[in-house]
Amino acid sequence: MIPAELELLLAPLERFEGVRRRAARLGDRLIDLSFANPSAGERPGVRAALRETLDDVRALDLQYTPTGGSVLSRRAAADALASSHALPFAVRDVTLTPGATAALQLALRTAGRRGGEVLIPAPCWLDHPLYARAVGLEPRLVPARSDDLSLDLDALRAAASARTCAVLLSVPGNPTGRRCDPRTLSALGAALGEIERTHGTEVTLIADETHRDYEAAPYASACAHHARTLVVYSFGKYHLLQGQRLGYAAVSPRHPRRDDAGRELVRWARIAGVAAPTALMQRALPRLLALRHDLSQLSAARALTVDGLRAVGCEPVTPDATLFVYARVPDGWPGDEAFAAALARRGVLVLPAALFHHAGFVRLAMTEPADRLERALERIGDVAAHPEVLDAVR
Amino acid sequence: MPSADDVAASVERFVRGRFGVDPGDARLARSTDLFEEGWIDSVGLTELLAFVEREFGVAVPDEALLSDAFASIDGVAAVVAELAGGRAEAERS
Repeated sequence: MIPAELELLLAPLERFEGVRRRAARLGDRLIDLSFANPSAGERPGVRAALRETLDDVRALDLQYTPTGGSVLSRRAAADALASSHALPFAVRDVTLTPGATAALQLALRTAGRRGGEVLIPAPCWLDHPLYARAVGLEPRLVPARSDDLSLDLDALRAAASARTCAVLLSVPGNPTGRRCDPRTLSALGAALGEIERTHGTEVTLIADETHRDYEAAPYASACAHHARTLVVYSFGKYHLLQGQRLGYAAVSPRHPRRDDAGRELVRWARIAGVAAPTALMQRALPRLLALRHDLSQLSAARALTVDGLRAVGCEPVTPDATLFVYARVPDGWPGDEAFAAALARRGVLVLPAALFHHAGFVRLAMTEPADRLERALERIGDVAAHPEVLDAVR
Repeated sequence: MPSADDVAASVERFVRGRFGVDPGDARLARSTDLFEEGWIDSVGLTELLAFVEREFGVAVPDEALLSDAFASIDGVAAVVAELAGGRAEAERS
């Protein structure tokens, strides 16, 4: 039986799922900007990489792999992290998982302790507090600064206590689409150190880096600023093959309990029944790591979307990372869920802020080509201009 | 002008053929909710829509797609038959 506190956390997502299922009846007329499932499919080279992997026959290539994943694939992921994060990640630091969702489960269990609290800056990815609660930790949402939705370190310090065992943060921000620059991360690291000293607690930073590949500037990882960091990642967003479920949880080489934490991730995978990714996807991992995608259209898509939304009264948070734009619901609407539902009836799916444990905004994914984005923006403009449509529906 | 029953028979043949449903599988009835009961997904719906529009020469508006009616074979057939009848009327006048 689902506990009441989890029902409460699930409710906005389940309401949206009802909206989504009905809107899906529109088939390819629907412009789906919700969960970043691109209508054009995966990025170039991805399908070929999977095909080559399947054809590269090897003994036991489709059979069980060890808990935590095959060593060759774990080492490939570690080598890539060592290069991108300028830290000596090794095979024992990486536990492969079927996507970031599973990696989050393991990271929370490794970071957690009985009676522990997880501070989650909000707006946050919809499942973050759900998973914290589900593994027996208490999620405490920490509101962002109201002016620009940036991280509010004063609020974080105020929310911390001796029970605080972790901070769970999307780096870059999801849904805000905002990069976490080195200055912000340095200030965060200092704040976490202060929290640890003040409250006599050990705080693990769980850095959800699922969307780190969409920053124009070189990626700044939280690992450099707080030693006790676990990284969570999914290959699905960069390669647009989200359904193939490939990711990992990784221990920062600077973690004071590096070896123990690495072993714990694997042990929790066994205990919680979190299987390794499929053997095929594990073997595809090195080929996927070798792919470099042309993201040059992204800044044009961002500009188009930001300008288009602003023009129709949906003031956006200026994005400089991720595939997302987060924008205010226009005046005259009772809320984000009502606006999103009205858009769905007009054939545009966006995610309401309620799913991100926030209010008054909607999130759009820029995973559609320019012509479909333009059509979506036209429809958004029509809907935004007619809040009376809501009364007619009522 | 096709009757709703003619349309239903045609749609059922399409669904069974396109989505690999055995002709004798009685779990798929004409009143079965195609989406909720897992016979068609969103990609399959695009194919179904293309089929009925091509086969019966109608354009199904968004409101009809989003209605409760457009969920079962009988429901799809009723919508399409009405559209086809309306088109025939328009052509006559």
